[in-house]
Amino acid sequence: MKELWRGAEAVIYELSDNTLLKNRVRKGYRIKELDEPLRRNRTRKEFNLLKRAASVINVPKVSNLGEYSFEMEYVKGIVLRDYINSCKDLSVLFKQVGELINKMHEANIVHGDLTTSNMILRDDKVYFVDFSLGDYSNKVEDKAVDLHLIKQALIAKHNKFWKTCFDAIISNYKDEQVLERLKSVEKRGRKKQ
Amino acid sequence: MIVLGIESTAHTFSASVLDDDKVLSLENSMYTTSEGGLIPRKIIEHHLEGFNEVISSALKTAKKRIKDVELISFSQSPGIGSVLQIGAVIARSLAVNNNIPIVGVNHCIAHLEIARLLTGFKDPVMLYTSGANTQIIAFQEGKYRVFGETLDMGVGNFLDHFGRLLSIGFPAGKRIEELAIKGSKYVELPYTVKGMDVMFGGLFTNLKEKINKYSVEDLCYSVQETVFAQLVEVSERALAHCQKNELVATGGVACNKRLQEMCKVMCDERGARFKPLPSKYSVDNAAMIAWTGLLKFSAQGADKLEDTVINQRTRTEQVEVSWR
Repeated sequence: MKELWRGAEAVIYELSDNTLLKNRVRKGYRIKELDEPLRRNRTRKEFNLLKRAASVINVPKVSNLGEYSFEMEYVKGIVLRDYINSCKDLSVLFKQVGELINKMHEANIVHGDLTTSNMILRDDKVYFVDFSLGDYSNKVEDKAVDLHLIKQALIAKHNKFWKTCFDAIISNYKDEQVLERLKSVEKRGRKKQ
Repeated sequence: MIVLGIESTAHTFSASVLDDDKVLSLENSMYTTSEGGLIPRKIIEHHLEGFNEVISSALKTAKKRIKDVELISFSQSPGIGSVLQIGAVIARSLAVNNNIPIVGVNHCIAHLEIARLLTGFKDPVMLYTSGANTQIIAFQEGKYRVFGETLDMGVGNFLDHFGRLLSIGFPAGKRIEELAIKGSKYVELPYTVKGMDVMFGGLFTNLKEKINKYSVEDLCYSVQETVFAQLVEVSERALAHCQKNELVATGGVACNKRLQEMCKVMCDERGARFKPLPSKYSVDNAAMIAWTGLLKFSAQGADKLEDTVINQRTRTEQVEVSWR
C-alpha cells in the first residue's frame, strides 16, 4: 500500500487508482483509555457523516468501515490551500464554498475543521474532505463556530485575500441567525479592541 | 548592549538584566494565595511593595548600576490594566530620570521570542498556555498569527478553577501535577477539540459533578491526560496545517512535565522536533521582555514617550514584528 498522505491524526493510503484507505493511527501521547475510544468513535462518525453529506454536497464516497479505518473515493484535484494564489476569480470559487457550507448546514452537518487544506477542486467543483471533527447538529452555535473556523483559517493562512474569500462565502450563506451568532463567537476567547 | 526588562502583566513582578543575548540576572516576585484566585487590588499591593527590591536585586546580581543600562523594556500589553500600569510607570520613571531609551513590548510575543532564542528553532509552531492565554501561534506573512485557541477559558485558568474545587490554592497547576502522578485510573471526561480550537468549559461543569465520586489523585490524572491531549492534538494539527516541523511550548502551564512529555512523543512520532524550556523562562519573566525589547530596538529604535501607554487588550496578530 502506498502511503499518500500523513495528516495530524490519520494516514491515507492509495489502494487503487480511485480508492483510498483512511486509517486513524494510534497516538502515543494519549493514554489508551482516551486514544482508542476517540479513534473508534471518530472513525465511525466520520464514515456516517460522509455518507449523509454525500446526498447534499460533493464529498468522497465511502465504503468498508473497519474499527479505525474506512475506504473512500480518491478525489484527484488541487487542494484549495495551494490553489488560492493562482486562482483568477476567488470570489466565484468561494461563492461555491459558501453554497456548500450553506447546504451542509441546512442538512444539519457541521464540518468541525473547515480550512482550505480540507477542500479540493476537481473539474471546477469543490469537494469537502476530512470530516474527522464533524458532527450532526442543528445548533446555531455549532454552525457559527464552523464559520468562525474557516474565517480564522483564511485570515491566518491567506491574509492578503481573506476578506474577498470570506465575503464570498457569506454572500451565499442564508441563515441570518448563524451569521449573527458568529459575532458573539468571535468576541469570546478573543479579546478584540 | 545592557537591557533592563520589567514584567508586570498579572501575578508576577519581574526584572531582568541582559547583555545582548546573555541573561545576567532574573528576579521574580509572584503573588500567590492559599484561597481565592487573582484579585487585582491584592496584586497591585504586592507589586508596589516589592518592585524596588526586585529591580535593585536584578541590577545587583548583574553587577550593574542603573546608569549602565542602555535600554529599558517593559510589558506594554496585554494583561490586567491596573497591573500593566505599574510596570509602565516604573519603566517610564527610570527612563526619563536616567535618560535611557525605552521600548514597550507585547507580553505574548515576548514568550515566543525567548522560546526561539533558547531553543534555537528558526520557525516553530508555539503552544502558548498560561492562566489567561491558550493559543497556537505560528509566524506567517510577517506576523505572529493565532491558528487555534481556547473558545472559552484559558487552560491555566481552568486548572485554577479545578484547583478551587479541590481547595488546593493558587496557582493550582503544580499541585495538580503532583497529585496526578499518584493517580492511575482514568475517569472519562469530555474532550472538546474544534478544528485547531479547544474548549474547557464543558469539562469544568462535568468535573463539578464528579468531584466527590472519585479520588482526587485519579481526577487530577484524568484532567491532565484529557486537557493536555487536547492541547497536543491541536498543536499537531497546526504543525500539519502550517507544514512546519518544530514545536515549542511556553507559558506557565508548559512547565508541566507530563505536557512536555506528550509534546515530545507527538513530535517524535511525526518526525518533528520539540525542546522544553527551563521553567523560569516559561513562566512570566522579565528576561523575555528585555530580549524582545532588544529585538524591537535593534529594528526600529526607541519608542517615543507618548507611545508607551499600556494597552491591555492587544491581540497577538495586531503586533508589528519589525525584527523578523
